[in-house]
Amino acid sequence: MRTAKVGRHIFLMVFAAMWLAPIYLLIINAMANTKNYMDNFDWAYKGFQPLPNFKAAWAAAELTPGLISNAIYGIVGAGVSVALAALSAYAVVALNPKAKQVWFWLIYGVNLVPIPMLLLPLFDIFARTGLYDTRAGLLLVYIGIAIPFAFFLSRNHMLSISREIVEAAQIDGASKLLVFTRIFLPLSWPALGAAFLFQFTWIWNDLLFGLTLTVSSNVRPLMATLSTLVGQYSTLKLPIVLCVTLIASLPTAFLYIVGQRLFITGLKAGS
Amino acid sequence: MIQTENKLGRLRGNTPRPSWLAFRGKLENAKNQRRKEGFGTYLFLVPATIGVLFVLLYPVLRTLWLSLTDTEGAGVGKFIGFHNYKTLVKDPILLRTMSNVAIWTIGTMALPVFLGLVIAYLALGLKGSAIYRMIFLLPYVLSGVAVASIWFHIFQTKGLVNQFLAGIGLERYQQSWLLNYPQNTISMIIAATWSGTGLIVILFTVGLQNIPLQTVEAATLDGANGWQMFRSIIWPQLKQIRAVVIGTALANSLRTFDIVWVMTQGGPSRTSETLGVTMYRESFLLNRYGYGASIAVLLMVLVVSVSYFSLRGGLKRENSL
Repeated sequence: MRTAKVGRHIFLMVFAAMWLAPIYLLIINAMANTKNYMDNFDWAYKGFQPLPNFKAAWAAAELTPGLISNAIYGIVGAGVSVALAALSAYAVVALNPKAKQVWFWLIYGVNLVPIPMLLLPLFDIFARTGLYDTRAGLLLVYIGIAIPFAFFLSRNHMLSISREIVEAAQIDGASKLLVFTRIFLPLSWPALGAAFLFQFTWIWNDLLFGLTLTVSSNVRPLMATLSTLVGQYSTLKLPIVLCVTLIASLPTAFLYIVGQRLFITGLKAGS
Repeated sequence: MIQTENKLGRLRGNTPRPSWLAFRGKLENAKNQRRKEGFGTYLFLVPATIGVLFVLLYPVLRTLWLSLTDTEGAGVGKFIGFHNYKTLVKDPILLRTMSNVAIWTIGTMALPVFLGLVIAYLALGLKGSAIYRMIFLLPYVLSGVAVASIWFHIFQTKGLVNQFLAGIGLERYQQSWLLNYPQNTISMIIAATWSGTGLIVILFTVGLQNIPLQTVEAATLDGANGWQMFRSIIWPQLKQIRAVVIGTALANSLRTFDIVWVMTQGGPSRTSETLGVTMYRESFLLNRYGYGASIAVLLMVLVVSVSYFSLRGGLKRENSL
């Protein structure tokens, strides 16, 4: 029994090391000295100069507008979509609307649709209405795309809230809004938090919408910008590209480490 | 729960406790009110619905329509029935893309799904299992672009894999991983494995934790060894979660775009495209909107059927329990 456990640990440690290696490579090479750097990934220590690399990365990827845009998309996009999703989930669960199932499938049913299915019409609408290459336009898309899954998560959670509490409050004359803000909202924070974290990460990491619906550097989300810096045609020094990659990944990595439990709640419910 | 009662107490504190008769009256009132205020209910539903209609439902319907037209560039072209779909079946580029989709499907089963199960099973109940799971899930929160940015430098011709092969004296196996078919697709599946396995570990862990302990204990008493235990006790009881995992993993691999777009742009000569990349190239680089739309529809049909079968598999199991 004992040896079996040791064997399991060894197996898992080997794989865990393999999983951490690319992150080690990312960090060590993002900090490497850019002089004498042969533009190959390297295991070995190649100097340590985080500040100059950060500065160069910041300038090369125009990170000031990029990070501001991404923060707006992520925070507002996920925030608004989770709020709208919570309201509608509450209505479906507690207010007995006519054709409950229809509302449910109307809001949730399109969750599975792959993004390429949406790109052409959105591009067309954007081009015709002046939403193309605006933060407002992209934000609207992110809000819409994030609703179905946030709705699904909040609904599942709200189903577990006791009917008696709700009916008691209604009998006491509490309005629909009051029941929502005083009972459903406080009881749903874990689910709503998980939905927010999840959708924030999704929006932050999006490439396709950014690539299709924006072009100027102060509107383009980070990943779309980064995607043009990586690859055969990149003119930047490798450590600088990796530094951009690292900076762009830090916010979601940080949120994941801080909110791991919520994040896993979202994962489990989503599949 | 205590919190709820407090909140409710506060709510109740505002109104005097009703007598039995007043209570009945209130009940009636509440019912009438609910009927009268029915409209209010829809105020809660409408904002989310508008968002979904504008961003998801309308585009889906319009893409379906576009796929039946010869649209190129602005405006809508003329209706040509299923012509785009007929072209699609004969298009050599699409055939190559579908062969890549097949490689992605097999690769996803062989790498993230298999590895995820092994890791979840071996980590279960070990001291530090939460730390292992956290490490495997970490790459999952990185964007596809970031993953590609790292793995591009591992697989590129002067990259880490080739350096490593040289280091252990296997120069003759060095090659341009990202420039040859099908090594380019296989390389990218490995990158996707790194980012996607964590999710599968989590899902299988949930499935394993739901297995009743008595069944395992009974098998131990009967003297089952490790493999017998897994084969006859654990594996059959994972049926439901297996459907979910396979469905999720395959749907994700069908959708792959970011990693391919950044690592190879689908190249060289369009040999490593996935459906998403082919759709993007046909639509936005070659301006064949109608044709691009039909590829998007094909992708949607595949994703929805994979998800549907996995869901049905899961539900069946639930019913039979």
